[in-house]
Amino acid sequence: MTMLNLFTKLKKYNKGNYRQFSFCYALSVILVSTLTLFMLSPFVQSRLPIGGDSRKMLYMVYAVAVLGCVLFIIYATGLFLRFKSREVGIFMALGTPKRVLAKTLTKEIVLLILKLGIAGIIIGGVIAFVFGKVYEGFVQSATGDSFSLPLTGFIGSFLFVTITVCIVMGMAVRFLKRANLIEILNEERRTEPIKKNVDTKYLVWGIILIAVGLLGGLIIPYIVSTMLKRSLSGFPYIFYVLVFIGLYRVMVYSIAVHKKGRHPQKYYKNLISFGMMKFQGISVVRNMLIVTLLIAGSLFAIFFSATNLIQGLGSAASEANDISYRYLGDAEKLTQEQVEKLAEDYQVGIDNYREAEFLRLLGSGVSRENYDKSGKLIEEYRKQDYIKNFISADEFERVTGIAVNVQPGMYQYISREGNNENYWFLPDDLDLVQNPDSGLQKPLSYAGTVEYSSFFYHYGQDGNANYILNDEDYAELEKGLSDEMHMTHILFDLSDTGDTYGFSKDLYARYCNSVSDSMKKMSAYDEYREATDSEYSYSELVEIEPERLGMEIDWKYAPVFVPIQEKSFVQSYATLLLIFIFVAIVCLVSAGVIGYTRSITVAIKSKSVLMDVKKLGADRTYLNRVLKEQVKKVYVLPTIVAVVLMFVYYTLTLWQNDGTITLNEYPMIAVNVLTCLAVCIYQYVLYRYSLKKAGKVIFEF
Amino acid sequence: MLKVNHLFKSYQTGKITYEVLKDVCFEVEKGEFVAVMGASGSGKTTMLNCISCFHSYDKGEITLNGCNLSKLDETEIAKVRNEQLGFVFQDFMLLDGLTVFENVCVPKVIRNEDYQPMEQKAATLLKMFGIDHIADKYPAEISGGQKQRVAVARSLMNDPLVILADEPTGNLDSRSSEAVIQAFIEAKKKLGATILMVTHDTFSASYCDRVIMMKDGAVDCELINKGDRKAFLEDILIVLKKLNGGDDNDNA
Repeated sequence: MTMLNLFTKLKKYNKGNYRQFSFCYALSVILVSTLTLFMLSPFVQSRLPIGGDSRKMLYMVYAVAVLGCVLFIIYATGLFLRFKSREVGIFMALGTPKRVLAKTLTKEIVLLILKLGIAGIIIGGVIAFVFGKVYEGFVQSATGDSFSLPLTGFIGSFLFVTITVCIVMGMAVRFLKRANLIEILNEERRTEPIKKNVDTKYLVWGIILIAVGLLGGLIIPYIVSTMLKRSLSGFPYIFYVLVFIGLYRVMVYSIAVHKKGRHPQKYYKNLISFGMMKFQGISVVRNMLIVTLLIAGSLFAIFFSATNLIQGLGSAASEANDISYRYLGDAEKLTQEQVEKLAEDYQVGIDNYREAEFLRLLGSGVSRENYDKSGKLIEEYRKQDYIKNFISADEFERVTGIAVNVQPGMYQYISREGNNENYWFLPDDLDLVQNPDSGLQKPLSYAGTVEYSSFFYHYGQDGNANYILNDEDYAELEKGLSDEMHMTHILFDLSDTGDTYGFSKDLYARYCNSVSDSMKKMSAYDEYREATDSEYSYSELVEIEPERLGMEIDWKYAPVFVPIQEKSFVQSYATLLLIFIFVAIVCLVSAGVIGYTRSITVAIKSKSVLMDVKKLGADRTYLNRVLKEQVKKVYVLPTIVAVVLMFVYYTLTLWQNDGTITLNEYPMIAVNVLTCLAVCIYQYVLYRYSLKKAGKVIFEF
Repeated sequence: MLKVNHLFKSYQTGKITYEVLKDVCFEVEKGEFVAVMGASGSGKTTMLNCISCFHSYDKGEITLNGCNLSKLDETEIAKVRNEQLGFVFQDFMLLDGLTVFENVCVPKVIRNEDYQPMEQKAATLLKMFGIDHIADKYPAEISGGQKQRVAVARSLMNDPLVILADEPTGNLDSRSSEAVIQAFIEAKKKLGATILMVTHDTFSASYCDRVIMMKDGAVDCELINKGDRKAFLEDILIVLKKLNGGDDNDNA
C-alpha cells in the first residue's frame, strides 16, 4: 500500500470534486486547442485579411479567450485544492512528511491533467477538423487547397497544456508550503470575508476610475491626435487598468456594503442573505470579476463581427455604379463591345456604360508618417509627393452627372459618403501639380470636396487621391503626357435580369487577364516614391488570381463588382466572423460554467447556515429566497456591468473613429443592443438552471 | 405548557433497530426552568430534537400549549419554531456575517416583521443581558459567554412559549456558564420564560426548578429544587452517581 494507492482509493470516494476539476480543465483545453488548431490552419490563415485592425482585433480577442480559460483553470484548481486540504491535513497530522505528500499529490495531479490535456487536444482536433471542413465547404476554395490541421496548432495546444500544468503545479506547491496544519485542515471551511473598510467613497472612486479609464482610453488619444496632432502610442492602454480597478471596487462594494439607508425594512429583508454572502466575499468578488471580463470579451467579439458585417454590406450597397474598373494607358483594355458581348452570353443588360479619362500627375503634399521624440506629429511638406489622379470638370460632370464649377488654378477633391477626414491626409494638402513628362508645373488651390464613391479608391489618399481640375488647366497639363500616365475609368450598371453574378465573375477573370504588369501593384504603391526612395518596400508584384475573385487582395487596381461583392462578402469575412463568433462562444461558455460552479459552491457553503436558519423557524420559501439572493449576486451584477460597460465602450469607439456616430453606424448599435439582450437572456437561463441545481444541493441531500 | 406523552423513537441501521426513546413522558409548566440530564446516549438530545421538530418520532405525542406538533406540516412547523419556540445551541449558531444586534433580530427578520418594534425589542434584550455594548460587534469579535448570551437574547425575540436549550454551557468555562445561566434566570424572572435545558453540567442544572434524569431512553426520575441550591446540587450528584453505576464522571 503506497501513498499513491491511498490517494487513488480516496479519489473513488470523492468523485464529484474530481469530476468538477476534470470537466473544467478538459473544457479549457478543448476550447483553446480547437481555436488554435482552426486559427493556425494555412487554409484559414490564407483567408484572413492581411494586416489591418481585423487581424489585430482577432488576436486580441483570441488572447482574451485564452486568458479566460487560464483564469478558469486557476479557479477550478483553487476549488480542487481546497477540497483536498482536509485529506492532506489529516496525512500531515498523522506525521506524513510534506516531501512525501508533495510528491504524491504532484504525481496524482500531473497524471490527471496530462490525461485530460491529451484527451482535450484530441477532442479539440476533431472539433476543429469538423468545423474546418464545414468552413471549407462554405468558402468553396477555387484554388484547390483544403482545410487541414496544422502542426503549429498542435504545438500551440501542447504549449497551453504545459503552461497550465506549470500553473497547477505552482498552486499545488504553494498550497503544500503552508506550515499551519490547523489552517490546512480547516481550509475547506475557511471563510473569506472582505476586510477592507468599504464605504460610499470607495464605490464613488470605483465609478470614477471606470469612467476615467474608459474616457481616458478612448477620448484622450482622440483629442491628442486630432487637436494636438500627437501620438500617445501604447500609453492609453494604461487607462484600461483603471477600469479594472474600478470594476473591482464596484464588485467589492456590492458584496461588502449593505446599509439601512432610507429603506430599513428592505435592509432587514435581505439581512441574512447579505450576511452570508459577505463571508465568502473575496472569492465571490473574484468570480464576479472573471465572469464580467468573459462576458465583456464575448460581447466585444460579437460587436466587432457585427460591425464588420454591416460595414461590408453597407459599402457594397453605397456604390454609385454596379461595375467600376480602371486601366492604365499601357494595358490592353477590354472594349465596350467585348463587355456587351459577354453580357449577352449571361442575358445581362448593360446600362449607362461610361469611360472617364484621368491624368496621372505628380502632386505636392504633406507627409505625416512619424512622430518626434516628444510624440509630436512630424509634418513634412513635399513639393513632389505622389502620382495623383486628375479628371477635368467637364469630364467629371459628363460621367457622373454631378455639376461642378472649378475655376482656373483651383481643384476639388473627390471623396465618398461616410468618409471622414483624418489627420494623416487633408484634401487641401495639394498646392502644386506637375506633368512628370514635360515638367510643366501649376500651382493650385483647394476649392472644396465632391462626393462620388466610384472615384474613391482605398482610403482616397496619397497615390489613390482623385481631384477635379479646371478644363483649361487639365488641357494644359495633359500636353506631352505619355500614354502610361493616362488612366481610363470604366463605369456601368447592370440590369436586374440575367445571371449578373456569373457575368461579373467572368468579367473579373477577363479583367485580371487584361491588366498590364504596371497595374499589378499594392494599394500603397507609387512609382514616383519607388523611383526616389532607395528602401522602397511596396514594389512587389501582386499575384492576381482570376478564379479567386480577389476581393481580399491588397491590389491598387482592384475593381468594384457589386454582384460579386454582395455574394462573396460573407465568404470574404466568413473566416473572421467564424473565429470571432467562436471566441465569443468560448467566453460565454467559460462565463456560464464559472457562474454555475460558483452557484453550486455558494449552495454547498451556505447549506449549514441555512439549516441553522431553518432551526430558527425559517420555512422553505424563506430559505429559497435567501439562496436566490446569493445566486443572483453571481449573475446579475457581472452581466449588467459587462453589458453596459461594453456597450458604452463600443459605442464610444464608433464615435471615436471619426468624432461622430454616422448614419450607417446606427444599425450596428441596434445589433449591439440585440446582442446585449441575447446575452442577458443566456445569463438568465443559466441563472435559473443554477438556482434549481443549488436548491437541490440545499434541500435534497 | 409542554407535554411529552409516551414518546417512542428508534433508528434503523441495516437490519438492526436501536430504540433511542422508550415511552418518555413528562410535562413542563409555564414559567418553569427544567433541566434534562443523563449520561451520553441516554436520549436527551434526541428527545429535545423531537420537541424541536428536527426529528420525527415513531409513537407518542408532543403538545405545545395544547397543540399536537406531530400533526403539523412543514410550513406550520417552521411557524411554531419561529413563534412559539426559542432555541439556544451548544455551538451558539450565530450568523458570522451579522452583528450581535442583527443576530438577535433574526427570528423577526425571518418573518419580515416591522423593523421599528423589532429594533426596540432587540435593544431591550441586549440591555437586559448586559451585552448592549457589543451590539455592533461581529460574533468573531466576542467571547463564548457573550455569544451564548446573544443566543439567549435571540431565543426570546418572539416571546416563545418554551426555550429549548441544548447544552448551552457545553462550550463555556465556569464563569461564562454562570453568566449564561443567570441570563436564563433573568428571562424567567422578568419575562416569565419557560426553559427546557439539556445539560451535562450539574452546576448549571442546580439553578433549575426541576431536573429530569434520563437513562437508556427513558425518564428515570425527577428531582425538585426546594429552594436550597447547594442541597439540590448534592442531590443531583448523588442521583447521577447512582445512574452511572457508582462512577461520578460528570463535569460538575
